[in-house]
Amino acid sequence: MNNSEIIKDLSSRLNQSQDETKRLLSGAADQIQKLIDEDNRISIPNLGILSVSFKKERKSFNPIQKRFFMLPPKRLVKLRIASSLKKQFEEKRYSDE
Amino acid sequence: MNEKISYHELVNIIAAETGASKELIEQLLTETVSLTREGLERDGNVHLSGFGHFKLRWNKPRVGRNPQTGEELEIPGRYLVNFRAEAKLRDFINRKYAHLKPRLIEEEPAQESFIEPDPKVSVIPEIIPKKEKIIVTKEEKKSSRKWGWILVPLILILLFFFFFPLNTGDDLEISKSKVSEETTNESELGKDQDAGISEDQISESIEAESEAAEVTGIPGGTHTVASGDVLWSISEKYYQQGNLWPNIYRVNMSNIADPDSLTLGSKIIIPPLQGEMGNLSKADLKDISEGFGEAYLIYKKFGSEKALNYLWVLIKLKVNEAINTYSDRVDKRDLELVRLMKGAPLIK
Repeated sequence: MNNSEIIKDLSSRLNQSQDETKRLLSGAADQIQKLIDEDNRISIPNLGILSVSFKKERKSFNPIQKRFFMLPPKRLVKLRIASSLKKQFEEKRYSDE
Repeated sequence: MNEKISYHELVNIIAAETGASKELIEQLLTETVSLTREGLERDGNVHLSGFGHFKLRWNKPRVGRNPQTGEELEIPGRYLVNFRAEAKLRDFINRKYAHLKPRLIEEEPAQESFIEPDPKVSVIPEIIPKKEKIIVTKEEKKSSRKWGWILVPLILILLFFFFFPLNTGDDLEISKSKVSEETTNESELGKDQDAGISEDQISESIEAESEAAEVTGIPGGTHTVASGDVLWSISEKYYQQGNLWPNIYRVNMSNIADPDSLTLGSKIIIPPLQGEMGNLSKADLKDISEGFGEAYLIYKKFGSEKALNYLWVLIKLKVNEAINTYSDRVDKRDLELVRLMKGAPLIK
């Protein structure tokens, strides 16, 4: 499912125009980005908890060049999936079996 | 800040920024989440612009083991939801580090030298001073002993083939009788046969032989790698001994990334030897020792346990110049393991 399909479905469910839905959705994404950037953890019901983790500078070996490199530090976005979502796919497994 | 933002706080923030009502934002978030779940259920893949990709992955069933009882268990397959943040989001939160690029490390940090750098000393100094205490945990000791038992027979075979052809001619009987005399004397005295002593005598006799003998030499050359060629077989072909392959590797290091795999059709330079098999010169021994040093370093780089074999031979060959060359690049833990292996009898 891509972004345009989501906007199309959302606009019909919210009774809003597609442009307005797109604006609201991008506004929500921007705010989430800002909050995550400030090292906050965001809880979204039925989806999970969004957080940022820090990965320190580390040494790495490039097997093609046969050389060691020092990789710079970076931040990673993590999503801890909600248990209700996990359960949903647990049920899917049983239904598949 | 590192605070947990609740759902209501998030709704308030988004509503304030977009100018929409809280109810609408709440509905928007709820519906987006439910659409994501539906999309995952239906397609197994959902992309939310400005946020990221959700993907459903099937983890196959596998056989596990209970670590306490050792009992085998079948772990059933399951679905996992993977989330990958969009590049835009990743770049945004990493803008502070955007200017940083991976930088090349020219050399590994030098480790503590393990041999006193005194070129005048003719006898090999102690690898690790006796007074120095190195804390080795029980597990490390256990594993090193285990490796010792595995590696010792291998090294025995390697050294047997390395030294046996050197003791040819009339002097062979003399050196053998010397060794046997020493070993019998030791056994009479009730001492353990120390591999180091016998090894010393052999290496001394080799050196003496090499000095005294006429040097004819083995000419070098170039070899084109054919199918099935390995460094061992090439060494056997030119030097009549496969275990001298590190000497070939030493010269061709720039072209050989992995000594265990050669590129078909590539050219291998065969370094000449001043002496012959059994009459190797001091320069040859130095080159061969350096070859073993390089073999140690490459296997160490690959994390292979074979590295210890080559370190052991490098030390046992007792060429001071070669040992000093590699002294600052040898891992101290490896030396400790090699030191433990030192006690293994070489000649039975």
